[in-house]
Amino acid sequence: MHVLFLSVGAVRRRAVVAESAQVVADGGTATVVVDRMAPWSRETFAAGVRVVELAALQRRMPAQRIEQAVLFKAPRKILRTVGRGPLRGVSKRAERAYQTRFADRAHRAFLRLRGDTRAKLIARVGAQPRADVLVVTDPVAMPYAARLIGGSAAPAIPRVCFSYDYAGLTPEGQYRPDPDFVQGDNQ
Amino acid sequence: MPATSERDVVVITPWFPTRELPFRGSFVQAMVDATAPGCDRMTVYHCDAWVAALDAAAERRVREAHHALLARSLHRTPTVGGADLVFLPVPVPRGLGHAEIAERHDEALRAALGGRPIEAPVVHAHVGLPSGWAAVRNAGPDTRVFVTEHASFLDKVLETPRGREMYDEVLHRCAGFLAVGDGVRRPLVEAFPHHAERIGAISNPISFDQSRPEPITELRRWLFVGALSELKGVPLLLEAFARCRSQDPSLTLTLVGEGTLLASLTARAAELGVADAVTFTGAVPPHEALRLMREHDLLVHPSRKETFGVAVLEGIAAGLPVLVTRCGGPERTLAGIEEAAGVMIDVTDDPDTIVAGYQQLRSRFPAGLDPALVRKVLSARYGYAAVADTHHRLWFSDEAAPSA
Repeated sequence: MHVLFLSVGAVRRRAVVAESAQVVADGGTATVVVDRMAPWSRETFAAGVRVVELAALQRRMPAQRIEQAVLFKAPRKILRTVGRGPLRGVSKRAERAYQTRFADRAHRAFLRLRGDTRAKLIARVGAQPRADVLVVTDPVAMPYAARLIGGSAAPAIPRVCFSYDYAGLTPEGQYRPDPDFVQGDNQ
Repeated sequence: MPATSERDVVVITPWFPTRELPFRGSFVQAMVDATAPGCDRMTVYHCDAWVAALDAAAERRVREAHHALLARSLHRTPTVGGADLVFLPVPVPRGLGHAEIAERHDEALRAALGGRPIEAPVVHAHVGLPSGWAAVRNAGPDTRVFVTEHASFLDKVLETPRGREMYDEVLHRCAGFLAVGDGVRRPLVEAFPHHAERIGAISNPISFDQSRPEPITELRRWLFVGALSELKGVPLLLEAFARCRSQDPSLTLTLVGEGTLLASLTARAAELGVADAVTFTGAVPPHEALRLMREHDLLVHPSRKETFGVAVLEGIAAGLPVLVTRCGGPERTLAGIEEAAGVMIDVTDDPDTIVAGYQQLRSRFPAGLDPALVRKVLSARYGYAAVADTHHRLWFSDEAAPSA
């Protein structure tokens, strides 16, 4: 059984880490889709859990690679080639000015024009391997999840839930609150 | 929802233990565990607030998606006591007040129910806002709604006109209202004097089923369970512990819980030269807290204010003598058995109060305590059977809520 955790909002991280580990412990495979890795830097996923970073996938898209080459890499290379020796300071200043006055603005415009590509990337991740269970783990992930299961080209995901523990599956070892417990402090 | 029977109960709660927050709502879980076996059917709706940075447009998109997903995402999962649990996330934009959050809960529950009212004859909600509000707004015309209030943030709930208005409506429309502890009941009675007679009292159920395997022989290993905060008196506890340890170097202190004071307490323990004797476990799952209780000799609960003080009763249930402050809850919960349970001290700003309490407890231990009597009395007051019986009489007969 392959479980896809859609965690692009990067909240409820403790639950995502624990539930993905439970999937592996239950004999399944788990993929966690995050937007960027930075908010997850303090988390440790269980061995066998595949973590996919959308930002990394976006960087590998052809349009983005061309945009980066044209807007940033090529001008930087030219300016650094020209700006050697006594021209080094001038070149550095020109590079900074170019980046703030033109390249960054053009990059933002490019992102606006390109639109949100995450839904397309998520659909691709969800199809390979095909997910048996989709776990939607935060509010930001909900629109992507709705598109993933509602689109015409949507991969057929048999089961959708908001927590692996409440997926309607009952494999042994799945988390159950222990009735023999203390309640602690309710403040 | 399928056809109902007379003993069909729906529980609506914003808290229930999850992997994200394993502590939160343990008392709701205990209530379900205690009461579900006496029902034909119990369904728990855990309406879990999922907070995220959402502007108005993003919230609209999320709401539409949430409603679209609900049709496929709500599964009944068995939980404690033979009840079923439906896990329902409630998307909440960051920064909302309690009134607005309650409205989100109402809307999410309505969407989960497909717009149909709850048909079960009994709905029991935990806390007035958000769940009491969601319950009265989604209950069918023949459904009786009951509410238990536990929240320590009532002042925040009631500080806005809209919050008070919604709370007033919950009190007006519910068939029975229960407050856990006088610290919860008093502000409600002050805010809504016209509902004073309707606000009854209940306790959180405590399991007294399992006794401690080995008897305590000396009061050496101190334990604190709760938030690491000024309100819980933890800084005073640390000072008092250091003074006691200077007399008896074999003493240890374990602090179970997390809070804003962790860094300063850790530094202070080092300054006092007791760092090697003090353990900070952080937050631990409920079963781990119970294990720790069974491995310690004494529960110290120096709280400044407490509505109920469930940790004190759980410590006693785990076989611990207690050193506890007269902070609101314990005076009532331990009434008549204070001496048999341990020592009760005043709330002061002086760590020596705790030191003196410890010395008094040690001088009376073990002959001056009577753990068997304490367990028997508390089990009759707060055991699962007692609390379940109160709920069942309330739900399935016309009996009024127990008075405070």
